[in-house]
Formats: sequence, C-alpha cells, structure tokens
Amino acid sequence: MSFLSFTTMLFLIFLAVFTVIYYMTPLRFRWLVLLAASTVFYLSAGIEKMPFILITSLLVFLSARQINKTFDALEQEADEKQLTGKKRMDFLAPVKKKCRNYYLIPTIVLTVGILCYCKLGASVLQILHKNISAWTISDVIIPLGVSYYTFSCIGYLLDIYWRKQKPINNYGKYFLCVSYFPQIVQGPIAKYSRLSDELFKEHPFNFTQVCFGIQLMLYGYFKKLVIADRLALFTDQVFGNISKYEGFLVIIALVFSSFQIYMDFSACMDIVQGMSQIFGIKLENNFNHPFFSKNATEFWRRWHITLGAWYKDYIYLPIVTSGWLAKITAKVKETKGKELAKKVNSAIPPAVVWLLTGLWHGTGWNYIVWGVYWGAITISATIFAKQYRKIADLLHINTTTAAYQYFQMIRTFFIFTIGRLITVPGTLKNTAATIAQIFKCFNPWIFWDGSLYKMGLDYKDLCIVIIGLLFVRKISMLQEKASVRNMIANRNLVLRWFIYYAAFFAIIILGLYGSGYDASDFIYTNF
Amino acid sequence: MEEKILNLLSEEYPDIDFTASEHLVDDGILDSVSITGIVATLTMEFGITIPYEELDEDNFNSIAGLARMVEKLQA
Repeated sequence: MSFLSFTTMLFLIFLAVFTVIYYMTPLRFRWLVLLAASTVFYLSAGIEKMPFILITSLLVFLSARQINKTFDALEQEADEKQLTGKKRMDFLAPVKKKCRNYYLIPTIVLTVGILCYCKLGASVLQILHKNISAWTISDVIIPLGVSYYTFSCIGYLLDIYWRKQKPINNYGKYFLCVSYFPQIVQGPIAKYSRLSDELFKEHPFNFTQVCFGIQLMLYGYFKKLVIADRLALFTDQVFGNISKYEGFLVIIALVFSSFQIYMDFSACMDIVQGMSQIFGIKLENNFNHPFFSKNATEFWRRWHITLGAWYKDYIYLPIVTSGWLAKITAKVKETKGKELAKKVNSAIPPAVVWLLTGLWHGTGWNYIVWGVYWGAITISATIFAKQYRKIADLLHINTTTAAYQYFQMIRTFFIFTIGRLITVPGTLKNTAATIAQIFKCFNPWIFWDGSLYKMGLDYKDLCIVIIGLLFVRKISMLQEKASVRNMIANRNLVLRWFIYYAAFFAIIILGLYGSGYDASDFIYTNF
Repeated sequence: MEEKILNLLSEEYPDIDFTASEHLVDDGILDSVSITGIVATLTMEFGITIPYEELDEDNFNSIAGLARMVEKLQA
C-alpha cells in the first residue's frame, strides 16, 4: 500500500499542499499541477511500480493514435464517395480488420498480459518457488491500481476503435487521465470522455465546492475510521480463527463483514469524490446506496457502478452484438424453438460477464464460484421474470406495499451476505469449514452472556458501531431524496458549524487510529 | 417499418411502453437486459447483424431510431 494512504496525516498534508499550489496556478496550467500530484502519489507507492503504468498508458496512447490515423484516411474517402449504411460498412471493413489485427488485439493482449502477470504472478511464483528457491513471491511487483487503470486504458482504446471517441494528442494529458490520484486506488473506473472533460475544463476557485468536498471527505473518514475499521476487528477475529467460533457468532461476523465492506467501499468513494471536488472536478458516481436495492440486478446497478458500466460497454454489449452469439441463437431457434433461443441469448452475455467479474475480484476458485453464484441469481431473474410474476399473482402478493419492499431489501442483503460467505473465508475449503461452524451449535445465549464483547469489540465499541450504522442509514435515506450537503448549507451559521465540528470531533474521538493502531487498507485497493 | 417494429417489440415486452418517450435509453426505460432482447428480436426477425457501433442512444432511444437502423443495415 502507498505510504500516502488516504487515512494518513501525511496524505492530508500532501492534499493541502497541492490544493494551495493548484489554486495559485493560472487556470490553463492547473492540469499540470494535478499531473505532478498524481505522479508524486504514484511514486510514493514505490518507484518500481511506475514503469508498468507508463508502459501500459504509452502503448494504449500510441495504438489509439495509429488506429485513428488508419481509419481517418479511409473514412475521408468514404465521405467523398458519399457511402452510407451497409455499403459504407463494407467499404470500411478491411481497414477495421487491419486496425483490429495490427493494433487493437496486440495492445489488449499486452495490457491484459501485464494485468495477469500482476494478479497471477504471485500464485505462479509460489508454485515455482517450491522448485526454484531463487524465485520468491516478493519478486512480483503489483502496481497501484493496476486493474483500474488497465480497464480504463482498454475502454479508451475500444472507444477509438469503435469510432465513439477521438484520441488525445498530448501524452501528458492522457497519463493524467490514467493516473489521476484520487481514483487510482480503487476507482471509479474512469471513462476517458467524461474524465477528460472534467480534468481539462478550467475550474476557478469556488468556496462552496471546496467546503462540500471537505464535508464529503469527513463523512467518508467517519464511515471508514469509526465504523468499517471497528467492524474489521470483529470479523478478523472470527475469520482468522474460525475453528474457535461457532453458531450465531459466525453468523454475526458474516453480517458484520457485509456492513464492513459496504462502509469501507462507500467511505473510500466519499473520500475520493470529496478530494476531487476540492479541485472542482466531479467524478462519476460509483456507489448509490446498494442496500436499498430490491433485487440483485438493481444491487449491481448501485454497487461499483463504473465497474458494471465498464463490463456493460466493453464485454456485455459487444457479446450481445457478436456474430457467434447470433449464430448460437439462430441454431437454437431452428432446433429448439424461439422461446428457448431468446433465453439462451439472454443468458450467455451475463454469464460471461459474471465469470470475468469473479476473476476480477480474485483468482481463487472461490471467486469463480462467487461469479457463478451472482450470475445464476441475476440470469434467473431475467429469464424467469414472467414465471416469477405469475407466482406472485397466484399467491396474491401485493408487491407495491412498503412491507414487501422492506422484505425485498432484506432479501438482497441476505443474498449479498451469502456471497460474502463464499469469498471472506479466503478459500472454498475455509468456506466449507465456516458453514460447518455455523451449524455446529445453536447458541442464542451469546446475545446476552457477554460473548459478543470478547471479539475485539467491547460493549462501547458495539454501541458506536450500531449507532454509526443507524446514522449512515438515516443520511442515506435523506440522500435518496435530496443533497444532504445542500440541506446543511441552507441552515443557519451556528447549526452549520455545529455539524462541522460534531463531524470532525466524532472522527477524532471515535475513530480508530493513532500510535499502535494501523488503519486497515481499503478492501478494494487490492483489486 | 416503424409499425412492424413497434408491434414486434410490444408483443415481446408488454410492460414497456415504447411510445412513452423519444429517449427510451436516456430515461432508463430500456436497460441492458431489454436492449439484449431487442437486438436478438431484430436479428432473428430481419436477418440482420447489428454491429456494436450501432448500439448507441440515437438508434435505441425511439422506435423511429430502431427503424432507421434496421433499414440502414438491410440496405
């Protein structure tokens, strides 16, 4: 992890220094300050990590320019000949093939190759280490944010290839888009067209925006240091010594682990968006209260939104329009009928996406099972939608009542927590052991005999966690309706400053940090 | 063509009112799942291949856009 971790004082000093320099620099040169800040931030994670991001970004930058140049010449000719529709597509087909074979595929293979080396290298070396002792796991360099910037680069290249985007001619500017420091650690995964608009627009100093940014960061620190890191003490204790715990203790640890990752990820997104807002730059929303989702599909539209959007744009929809899927669908239609053909057509693209999503989160079998698990739930919801509606009608379930909607939210939370059961223990073997521990005994007395307070959290800590979660829930409900920061801004001066001080001191007094305590890394940093 | 596509899709997706908006994608009426189904339906019905480049809001925001796209790909 970078020594400029978001939860360190050094990072806050770094941010304050570059904010001052940023606003002292003339408007049109401000992107250079961000480039310098991003470079310093990246270097702080280790100079040996820098070549990876430089090579990937340079490769993609040059390849994109070459693709554009090759297309431009022939498109001009097509325009002169006034070709449209299928004739134009046929005319451009050879150049498309050339771009695909000479630039697109080799660049993607190389960048994905680097990503695979970084993600799989440790496992491979672990095997090799048994035979060749000179090779150790520490030989594998894992660049900061490798998944995030690789996906962002591939998206940019494909947009150029699909003629949805014009390439940028300034490598410095492109490198800033790839390495912009607030989002390099755990996203959002930048869509080049949107991020570049924000980064290179002139942002005059705006006091309200700076205040809003600081407020959002404070809220993020509250979620991370007061709630998520507290929950981590409990979950680490249980999952680190699973054979010692059983029954409800394991169930509670699982439920806590769901809240922990929720708080951790949303905290990081608040900090990231807040610090970016200080510079006047609006990042894409990556988290939208997913625990309010009524089903699994909606959940993934609200959780890690930009990762889902990336998969949709660059994996899902290209499969939907691919020739091979059309052929499979046509064959099934011929042999088994139209209804089954439609089901097969609807199931294949998400199945591929879920398998890849699982692999993105980790390389163990547990992540593949996790992908299959989520894939099965979301695909069945799509292809059996009519049947589910019929069942609801048959049982006379009124799906519009508030009670039913609460039931749907709890059901989504339950589905999410089962997913955590597959990944949190670390391996499938550990997952099986965890399930065995859950059913080993029925021990409801842990709720009143004090056992809960011996798991790394005492009574006071548990109260803080529960009150913190209820507080975040209340804020989230308000955020669903309107901007809470605007609501605060419209209050009188005394109340406003009381809220700011309360938030600040809540983090100072209730946060877990200081000497002897090492704030946990953000969970998604390791992806 | 517009009428044919409207009838086809309305039969396939009775819950979606394809005439409700001229911004079916932008307004969130169509999501990636329904777009998948629409691509499959149009591909099977008209014997066309819809390339990825054609999956944009202009084509999918309205029945008129879809009709234009199908006619273009048939030409």
